[in-house]
Amino acid sequence: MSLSPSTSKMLSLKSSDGKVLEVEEHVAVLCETIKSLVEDGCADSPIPLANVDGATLGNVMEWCKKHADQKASADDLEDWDAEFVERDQGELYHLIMAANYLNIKGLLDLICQKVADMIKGKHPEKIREIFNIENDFTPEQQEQIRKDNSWAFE
Amino acid sequence: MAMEKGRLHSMLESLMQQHEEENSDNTRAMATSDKESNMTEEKTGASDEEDRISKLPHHVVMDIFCKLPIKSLMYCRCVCKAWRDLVLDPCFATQHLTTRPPTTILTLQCDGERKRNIYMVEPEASDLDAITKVKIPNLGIQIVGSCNGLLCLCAEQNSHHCFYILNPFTGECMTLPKIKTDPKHTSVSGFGFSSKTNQYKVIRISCRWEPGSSSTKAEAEIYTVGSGGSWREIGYAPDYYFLGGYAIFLNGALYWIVDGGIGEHFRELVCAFDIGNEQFLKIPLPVSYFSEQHGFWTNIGVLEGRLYVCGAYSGVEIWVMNDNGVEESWTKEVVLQNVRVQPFSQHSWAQLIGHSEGTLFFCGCERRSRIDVFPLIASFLSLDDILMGASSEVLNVHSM
Repeated sequence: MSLSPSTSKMLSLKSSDGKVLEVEEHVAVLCETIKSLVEDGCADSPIPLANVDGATLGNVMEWCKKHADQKASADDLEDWDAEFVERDQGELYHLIMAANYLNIKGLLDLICQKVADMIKGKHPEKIREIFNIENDFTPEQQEQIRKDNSWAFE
Repeated sequence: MAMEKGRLHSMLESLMQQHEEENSDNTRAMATSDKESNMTEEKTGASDEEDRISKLPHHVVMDIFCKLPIKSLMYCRCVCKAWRDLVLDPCFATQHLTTRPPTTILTLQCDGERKRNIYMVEPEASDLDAITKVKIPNLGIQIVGSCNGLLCLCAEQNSHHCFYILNPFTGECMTLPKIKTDPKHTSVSGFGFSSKTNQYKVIRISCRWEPGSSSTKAEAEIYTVGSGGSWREIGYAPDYYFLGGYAIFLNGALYWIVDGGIGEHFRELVCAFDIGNEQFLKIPLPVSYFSEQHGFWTNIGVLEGRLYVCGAYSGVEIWVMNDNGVEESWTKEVVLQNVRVQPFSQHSWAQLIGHSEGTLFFCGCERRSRIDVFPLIASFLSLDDILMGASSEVLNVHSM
């Protein structure tokens, strides 16, 4: 069967919680990990993605679909991306892990930038509070670091 | 002509105003001290009692940190042990160095004042909060140059030059052996790094112009950082008159604008010094550069990784050298007709930071104060690493 240029072969992706998602091949290959499978001819059966849950996979493919769209302008994509990353920390964490696992540089970059923006300009106490990071310095270490960094705290 | 980039310009204006007030009554605190104002609550995503960021793979956290300005990284260093270790990891320093745009270093000196303040302006500076005052080891200090995130500073004391190498971000500072000054000589200095020999070197060139004589006599001395030794004379230096401007460092070599003319025939040219093999090289300015008698106040600097010279007489011309050190590769990049610029650049007081559609962006001002501008790439390079095991005391100016 021959495909017309406007349609693309479908791939099925299976998430860690057993959900199967049908995705156009030209969208799915934005994931370098999937692209290698396709190139090696191993993408016939549903591709098991053991590290990505169904909800996250849906979000990732939504991003890929938008970015595979040749008609989207750079400005359009920028606005769309800005909205895409407006999520809670839990979702951002799953997206960053999925982007890393599926090797999608653009998405990884986007979410890293979002996290960097959350850190930027904030004092250590505030950063610990936002990300629930435990302060594991001894009071002496804490004092020394503060001293060495005094210019930043002025 | 419109030469200032609006944002930077207004920041400089307010900075200078502060500097002048600070020096006149010494009572006003710098604006950099009221940091808390921008620490207001923002929408940051709901915090739900789980530390997920610590579970991210090491290289992902590194990617996130590479997107942060230096000041934020200094804060990150204080969050927890894992983050401290990551920021101080030499691999991270290298990655950060190659992914971030340079920070601008400003030095400010009021007329007649020996006191000089140094400020860092972060690349994404949007307001005065992005300006940090650098702690310096000595007040009567001049900047010699910057290279790989390190600043070389010089102060003159009791007929000696004292050179310092400072990482303004970590505060690490080391003092080089003192070297005598001679009142009959004028001197220029430079600081650079050679990746061929993996060495940092400071060079001081002293020149003496004798009235009635048709030539200048120049001598050069070099100190190799980490050698543990003393200054050594290299016994040769081209007999140019070094015009007192800063040395520009680019790809293993230093560049000065010098007077290479004979006797009364003033003729500017570029003198280059290779940090690795310690050889001087003469690079004539493009022939047609002189056709309009540009050559008096030539400004030299680095534009997009290439050496540029800029002159102004009846117009402004910027020439860039596409192939470093190759005279034939001078290319005229920008010409602006019928504009006249005051000799803004005798000592490179202004730094050309870019140009677009007939507008030149300079950083620098002419007022009662003097501003010198340097590009600086921030790094966490430890001075212990560049000392290569040689014994030398490294102090921290932040703890002083």
